[in-house]
Amino acid sequence: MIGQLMNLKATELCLGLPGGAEANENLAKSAVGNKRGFSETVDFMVNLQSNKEGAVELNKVVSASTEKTLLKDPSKPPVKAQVVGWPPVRNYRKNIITQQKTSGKEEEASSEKAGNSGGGASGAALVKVSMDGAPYLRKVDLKMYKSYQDLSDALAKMFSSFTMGNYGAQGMIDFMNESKLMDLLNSSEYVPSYVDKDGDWMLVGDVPWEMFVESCKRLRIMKGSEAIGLAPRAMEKYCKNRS
Amino acid sequence: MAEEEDLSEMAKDVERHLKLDPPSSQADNKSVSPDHVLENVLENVLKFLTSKRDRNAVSLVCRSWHRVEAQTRFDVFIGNCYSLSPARLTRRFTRVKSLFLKGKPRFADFNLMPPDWGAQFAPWVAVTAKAYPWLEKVTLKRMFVTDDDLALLAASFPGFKELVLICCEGFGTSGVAVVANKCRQLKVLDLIESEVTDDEVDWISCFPEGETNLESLSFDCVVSPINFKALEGLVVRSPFLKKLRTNRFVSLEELHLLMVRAPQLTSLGTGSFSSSSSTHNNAAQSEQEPDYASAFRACRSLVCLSGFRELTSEYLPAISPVCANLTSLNFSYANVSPDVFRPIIRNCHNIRVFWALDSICDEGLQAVAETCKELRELRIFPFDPSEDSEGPVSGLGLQAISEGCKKLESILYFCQRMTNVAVTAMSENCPELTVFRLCIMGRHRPDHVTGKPMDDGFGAIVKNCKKLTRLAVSGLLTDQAFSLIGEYGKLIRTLSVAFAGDSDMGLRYILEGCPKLEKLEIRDSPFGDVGLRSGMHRYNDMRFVWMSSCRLSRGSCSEIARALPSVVVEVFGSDDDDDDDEEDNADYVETLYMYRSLDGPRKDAPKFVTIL
Repeated sequence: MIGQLMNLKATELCLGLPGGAEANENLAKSAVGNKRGFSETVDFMVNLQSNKEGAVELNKVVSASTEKTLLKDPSKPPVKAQVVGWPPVRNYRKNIITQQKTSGKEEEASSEKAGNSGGGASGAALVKVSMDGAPYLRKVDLKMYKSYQDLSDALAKMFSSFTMGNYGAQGMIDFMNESKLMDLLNSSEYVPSYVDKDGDWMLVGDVPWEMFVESCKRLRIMKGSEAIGLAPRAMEKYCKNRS
Repeated sequence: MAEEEDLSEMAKDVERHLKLDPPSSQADNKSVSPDHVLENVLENVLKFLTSKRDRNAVSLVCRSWHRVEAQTRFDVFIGNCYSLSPARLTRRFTRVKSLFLKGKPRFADFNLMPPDWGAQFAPWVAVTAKAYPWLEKVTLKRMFVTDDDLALLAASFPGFKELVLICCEGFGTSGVAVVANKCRQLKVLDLIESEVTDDEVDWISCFPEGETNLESLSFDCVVSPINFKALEGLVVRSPFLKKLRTNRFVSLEELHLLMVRAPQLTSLGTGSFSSSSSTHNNAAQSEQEPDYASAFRACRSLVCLSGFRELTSEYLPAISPVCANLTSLNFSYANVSPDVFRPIIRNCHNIRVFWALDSICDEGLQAVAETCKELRELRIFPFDPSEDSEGPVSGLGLQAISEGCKKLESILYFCQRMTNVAVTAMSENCPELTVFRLCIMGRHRPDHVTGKPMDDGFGAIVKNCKKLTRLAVSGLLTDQAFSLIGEYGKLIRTLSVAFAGDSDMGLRYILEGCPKLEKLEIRDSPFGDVGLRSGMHRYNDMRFVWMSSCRLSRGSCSEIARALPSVVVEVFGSDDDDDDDEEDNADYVETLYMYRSLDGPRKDAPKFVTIL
């Protein structure tokens, strides 16, 4: 069982959070400098397994790990993690303050408008991330990342067998070079794709990062071989956007 | 004094009714039987009873009392719109003039509930439109209200006088316009912390011509510009206007104009409180700058000040002339520093309600403590509401307040670090506390001086504050804290828990203690099925229980649902997509929201909500 916990791969079926152990360890290491013992990780995993928490938001996984971190070593600053609805300040108030911070005389921010959606908190861009073969979903807040590389690192922590292929400068795909694209899709086992504002499945990396954050509604990490089907469509759209 | 008058009035009524026929309230029975007389007497007595608790007690005495109470209840308060159907309301209470409906539970404010969960006003307005054409007042909190609902309201109640929407959503300026235009008797239109979509309708211009009955107009939460000329005109023809809360699109110059037109105001929401002329030539402007201080001075009745949405602090001293009269001051949208704040608060000796941002720091709180001896309610909000922000207020500020403001009854305090000593000090210095809500923003933060859990501090609060009815806890807390809360929290009606406790025992302590508990909201705490089951005997007597991101399984929630047919048990996740990917966690309950209901499960539950 210990071996299983240590070597869980995202694609293996299990009750706990396969990517969780590594994610927690990574975070723990960075926050507490290796002080966190293995036994705590086991405790944590056992607790989670016994509660059958399946698709828990990454946020909560991270928060649970920071709980342990804090308990053992309160003097270290906690790992920054986004927890939904905490601290409990209403969006209405948060929006007003945020707006004041950015500029006093701006046009009213669109974030102030009917924020009925679950992601109504000003600044949060929560999207679901799923990975083919993994029995759970995660959520990420795209606004927490500054680049494709950041996102890639975070996804790698979440789904341990996933690595983003060679995305070139600034993490963008070179759609103009078809053979390069095909290499990419054939080489990496998994490729991230996303649903954009129009509802189309696109390959991640086709637009500049900021545009991506605005338009991405959902992420799916799929096998490269399946993503090949997306490539022509993505290329077409890319070219359309360019012209 | 008023009581004596009431009693003599009552005596006269009794006399009158013993001689005359019964009033038309008993229209179907004209006889003057002894029972009838008694009922009439009762009716006249009960008219003086306004407290809902008293009325509820009265209605339980016997059928006759139940009936008479129902006929004399003009104000109905419904704490959970799903606890009964609109039809039941109209069957029991036939003469309702004022309705207060609460919808979603409080944690919905923090994105813990998917949108479109429910709490629609529509069925209520449809039914009451037919049953209570004389309806005068509607107050809604956390309800989903559409423009159509508002239109129906405006069309159905010719004598409609007061509309108050608190934390509501689903409507826009077009709905507001209809109310403004059609409700000719309107006295109160208060939109408080609601989401109002900008339909680009000039709703202020929709108020009818001629003198209005307006006494209160609050639109500080409306995030769209308004027609200022129309507002000015409205204020001029509203001689009864006492409360005006403008939004941030009203500049200081415009505010000045309004104040000059309405010096009778008692409550003013100051809008942006910044000059719109920042783009103009400063030199030219200073010559023409209005005398703000004198405008404030002219408002002799002003006791409540809020707004300051885009405060330019150099203008703040203009409010000084009214400070001594203020009983309520809301700076919670103004990032004032201690240096700007202190000279202002020094004059506010009569303040009873004070809301501010933590930017005033511990020094600002010290100044409050030194001056505001009449303080009853304090709320300190975080300027930077994140877990790793600086946290300019701490236990020092809290302790200072407790030492200076001994009459404190209600406190909401956001901070980054706290000590048991400070919390204990407050428990000892402020015996009148009924509401204690402390939010240590860093999750699981212990006492930052001793490193110990915050158990002792909260324990002291429940032990010493004998009148405590509402408690919100935070910081590092063990089951011991809950043991103390269960044991000593004899009057607690609302308890809010987040990221606290060690085990099911924590929840058990609460449910086996706290005899008056009505509302329990818990998130992200290690409470599971055993804890939940331990409260089986309580749930019928509570308004609701919310538990999200705890350790509950579907099985035990179903068990509760089966055992308690008058409790509706809802389970749902934090988002509204029904994804096929999420099959594996079918047993884990992300969110449990259960509440008692007279009319069983609701029919309007969306797909993502499962009612067990």
